[in-house]
Amino acid sequence: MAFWRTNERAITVVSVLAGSLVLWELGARISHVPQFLLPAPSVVIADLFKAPGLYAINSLATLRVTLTGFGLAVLLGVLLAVAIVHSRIMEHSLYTLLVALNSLPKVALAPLFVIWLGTGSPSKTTVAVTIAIFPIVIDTALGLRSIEPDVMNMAKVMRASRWQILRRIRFPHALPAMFAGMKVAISLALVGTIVGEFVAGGDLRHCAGLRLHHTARCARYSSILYNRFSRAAADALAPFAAAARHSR
Amino acid sequence: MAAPASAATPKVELRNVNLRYFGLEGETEALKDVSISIAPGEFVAIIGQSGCGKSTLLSLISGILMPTDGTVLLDGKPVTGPSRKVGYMLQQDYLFEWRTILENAVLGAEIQGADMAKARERAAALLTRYGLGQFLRHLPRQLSGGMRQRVALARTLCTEPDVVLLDEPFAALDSQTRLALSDEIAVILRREKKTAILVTHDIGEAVSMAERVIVLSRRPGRVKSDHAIRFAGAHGTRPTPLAARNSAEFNGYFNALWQELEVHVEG
Repeated sequence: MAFWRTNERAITVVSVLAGSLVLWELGARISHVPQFLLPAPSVVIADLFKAPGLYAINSLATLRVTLTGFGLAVLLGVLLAVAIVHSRIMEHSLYTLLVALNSLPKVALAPLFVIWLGTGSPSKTTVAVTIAIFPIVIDTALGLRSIEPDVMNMAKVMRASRWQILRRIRFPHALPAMFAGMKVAISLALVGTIVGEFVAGGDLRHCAGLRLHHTARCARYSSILYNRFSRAAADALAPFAAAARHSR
Repeated sequence: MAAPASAATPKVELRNVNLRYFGLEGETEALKDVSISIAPGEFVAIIGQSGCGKSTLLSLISGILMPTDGTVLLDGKPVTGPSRKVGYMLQQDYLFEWRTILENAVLGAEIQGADMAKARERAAALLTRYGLGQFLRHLPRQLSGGMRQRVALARTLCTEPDVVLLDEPFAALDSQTRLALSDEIAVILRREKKTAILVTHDIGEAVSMAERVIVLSRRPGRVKSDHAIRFAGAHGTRPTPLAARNSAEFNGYFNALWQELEVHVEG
């Protein structure tokens, strides 16, 4: 009983995941859906073990671009948010522009980036950054601004400089909102990377997106499903990593 | 207008202060021709209905707002911005949840670039004196409302201001904590010989804590009256606020002030 209580969350997560895999496996076997439409998880895993190195190299390449894109998005996003909060002109120009740009389907810009930046990782990273940066800017700006007027008055009476207000008051206040933005951004960075790889493909042999594209052409769905899984795993891990840092 | 008895420079002085500000509904006159003079070490309460400009008055003294006309003087010098000599205590404690009690108490000192070792020592001594000695490493959320407000007092006094502005610092507390804490804080401020300006709409709080109560009229706020509060204490010393509430004079003052505020409701 004590074991259950201390590990309740882990047990629930593991059993839900395992349970859905079992259901899927059973469903795929019992029904007569052809394997090329929906392969069972066991088939996917078997396929994975046929060429583990290939999948690992492809996944790592994608992961690298995703993390670079995410990192840049956080850095740029926080800087932009600070500028927006500190200057009315920046707020009226930049913020308005960002919100307007956010309504564009940025995925559609991916081919442009490939034309501008080539088919290497810069274009893919750029797609990842453009998609991931919005939630970071918007949530961080919101967090930095959510200071009660009386707290600002208190800081003014203490004769705090703008930098001190930013560092000691605004920034710590904004952290929860920033992490909320980052949780959304990490999965968007992966989406951006995969889209970049779909479009740029060719040049770089190692990327999950290209493998997706290629295997889709070859109708090898079992490979696609592996790719989807590695992406889902990265998505699932990101918030935990963020939460772990946050609760430190 | 009761001028301070001594010829010394007043600690805080407002001379013919007007304050107007512009909002969506046009111009609002918040304060009109306000002149107040407060002697060093005096404990003054300012009462009035909500929206009469009481808090605005504190913003002017603290230098975060500038008057439209007139002058605000601190130690005889015009106020041009926030001063090291002024400390502010607000209705909410605004302790930062990510800092320990001790680190919260030294916030002001930290911002002013003071010697942090000394500031920590001072804050720890203040907190210990206020009965929070064993909570120095605790986080604000582990403390009750009254304890948190005492931390806020320590934060205010840690920078050693001469003038302490109190903007309804007890309003968010339950009534018992409120009585106990107002008693404690009044005693502390008197012992440390601070000039204190308390803004409140609680007449009992004003009469029991302050030696002078100024009534502001409805907007635009003007000084309506100025009452010296005296209790026949032992050897001319002032009773503590709790004792003051039980003294013979308390009800007289209370009723006089009550009537002044009542007039405003009708007029």
